[in-house]
Amino acid sequence: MPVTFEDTFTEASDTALTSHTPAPTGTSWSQVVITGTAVIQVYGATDDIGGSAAGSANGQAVKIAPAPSQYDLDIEYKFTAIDTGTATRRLGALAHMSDATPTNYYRTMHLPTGHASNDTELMEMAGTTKTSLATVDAGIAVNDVFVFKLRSGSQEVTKNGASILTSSDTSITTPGDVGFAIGFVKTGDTGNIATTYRVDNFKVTTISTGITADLSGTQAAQTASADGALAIAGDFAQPQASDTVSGASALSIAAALAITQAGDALAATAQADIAGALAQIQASDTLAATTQADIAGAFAQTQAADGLSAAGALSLAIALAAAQANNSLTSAAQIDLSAVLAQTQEADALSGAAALTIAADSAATQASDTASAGAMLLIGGALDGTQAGDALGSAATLPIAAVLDTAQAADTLDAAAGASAAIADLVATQEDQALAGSAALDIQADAGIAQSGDVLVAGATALIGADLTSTQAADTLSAGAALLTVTSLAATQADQGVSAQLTADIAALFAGAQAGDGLAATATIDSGVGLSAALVATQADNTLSAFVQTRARGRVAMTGTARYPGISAGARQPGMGAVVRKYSINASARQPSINATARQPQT
Amino acid sequence: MPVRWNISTVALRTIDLGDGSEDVICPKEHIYLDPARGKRYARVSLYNVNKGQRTWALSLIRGVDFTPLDGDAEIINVFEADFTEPRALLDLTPNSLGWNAARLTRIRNRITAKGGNTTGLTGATPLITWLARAGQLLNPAFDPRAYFVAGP
Repeated sequence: MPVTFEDTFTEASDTALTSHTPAPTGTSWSQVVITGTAVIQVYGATDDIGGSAAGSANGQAVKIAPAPSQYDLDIEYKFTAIDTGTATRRLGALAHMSDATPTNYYRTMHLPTGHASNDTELMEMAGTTKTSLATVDAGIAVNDVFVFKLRSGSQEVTKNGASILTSSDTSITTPGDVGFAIGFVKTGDTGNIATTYRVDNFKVTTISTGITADLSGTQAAQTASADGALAIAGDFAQPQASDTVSGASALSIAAALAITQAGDALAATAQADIAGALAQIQASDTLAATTQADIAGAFAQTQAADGLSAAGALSLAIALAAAQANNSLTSAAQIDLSAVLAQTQEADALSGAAALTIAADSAATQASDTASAGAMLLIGGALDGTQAGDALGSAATLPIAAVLDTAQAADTLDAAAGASAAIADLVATQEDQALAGSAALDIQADAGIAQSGDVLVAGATALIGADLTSTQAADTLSAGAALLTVTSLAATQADQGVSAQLTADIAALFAGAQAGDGLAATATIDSGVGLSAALVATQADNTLSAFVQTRARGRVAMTGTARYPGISAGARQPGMGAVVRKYSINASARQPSINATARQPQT
Repeated sequence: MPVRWNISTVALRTIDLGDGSEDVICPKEHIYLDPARGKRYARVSLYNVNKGQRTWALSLIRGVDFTPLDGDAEIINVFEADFTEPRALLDLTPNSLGWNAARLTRIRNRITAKGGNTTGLTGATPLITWLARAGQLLNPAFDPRAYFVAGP
């Protein structure tokens, strides 16, 4: 915020302002218009300015040089003596004077504190027509510092740093000239001149790219060029949006944004630091390579659809109360969601070596992420809602370390892949996993509901390490695949399709039925390894093809009419010879009873 | 000092300054003095961005005694209410203030009478939204939070 003009009005004797050289900053004061003979002068004894004499309908307007080159500016001045009278003796700053007449301008207009009108008024002048934008009785006193703040589409007057009025007039859009006036300026802007009011320390500051004061209204569409800085330190009650920050510039927003912060575009090496709470949407930021967006505050609303390219980083450290969705991360980009996500986090796409780390609780859905080779999707905390439909490419990993209260379903893990999904406690459905090649699906803890419909191709392994209180059914294992179920299944385990040379190891107690498995030739249900424990319910209708072997040492309860096991010709049954046709084993029987056409085993 | 949002007529008016007068485009409130202070009401006004259509304004008014304003049919207190702080009121809702349906209808009618659209506005709609519906008839970029006037 460069000071383009500053004058402390130092003179040895009384001097007309237009004959005075401003110091410490500036070139000159020159007259714009004058009515009557009284002028604005510098008082040598007090080093301030006021009217040179009292005069009804007298007045002068002057302007500074150099003129400000920018529209946004602050005009500051300090009162050193107060007019407490009641007459219409006016003075104040002029801004955006359009020409030498001057035709158009904004003005702060101060009246004596005893006047029936308020002592401070903001007005807009167009030709000879004055419009009163705002008025307030500020109670002007000695040493009060007023600042007339003019921004594109807004005006504000502060006294000693506190806002006393704001407006949002849009009538005048060109920078024009800055000046000061006492008394009568022109038709329509009338008044009297006097010597009583005195002013000192007149300063003009242009506002380029940095904004440090509180903005109560909209702050929008700032443009910061290379190496520029857009620093916004105060509270925003309204949107801060669509900033463009190029080069090595920085966008820093330190305070609370009550509403939207969205659509920023940051070029390479630009940085956006948003430290305060965002109560509303932060969305659709575009960060180029090496840019960084650090968003440290709480998001009460959606954070969505950020696009981060290589090496860009989006760090969301605090709670997101609402959806965080549809992020797109390319190679090496990183998105860290380290805190609580109360709502949906879904449909992220991770390519290359990108990493999506979700370290904390997600109360709702985390779903449909896509991670290509080398990418990593880390979900470290509890997911109360669905985590489903992830697709992991070769060598991608989906470690889900904590409790999933609901379904984790339909993930696709690629083959040669080496892709792996490790899932801890599942209290809801875990189903329809598709594992290719050497992919591994490890379900290490409790699954309270069904685990079913998995498809494992050769080399794939499904490890179910803990209790399944509900159905595990209809899995399909192709050659070389393994389904390892090592602990209790409280409900049905049925209809496994196990092809040749596969192994189904079922090591623990089956509280429910184990039925209807089809084992192809040379497949094994090995009681020594797998089917070693008791089956307290039906084990029925398994079909074993030729050369299939079954060894069951546990207590097996079988119904009388069930064909268990049904063994084709040439199959071997423990302790029996060849050519067994059919066995019918009654429940509770300790020894199988064998029909006439079979050979009686040794008993 | 309390504040209120008013809809009032706008015109080029001659204002008595005590030792003379001036002609100024202003809302009707500007002609009155606050009886409690003997001064004009503190005010900030939103006008139509099209100067040729400046027939009414939406103004934030601060004062002590609003009796003169209440007695002028050209000046309408939009919410029929005074508030302690200009910005805090914006997040309030008619429901939170306990306003009844008849009052809501009157407020709605004040906006529609100016050509405003009140579709979707309910008792749960914050006052800032109600104000915006009215003010955006004058300036599409109107934001009530951008308007403030201090007390003396």
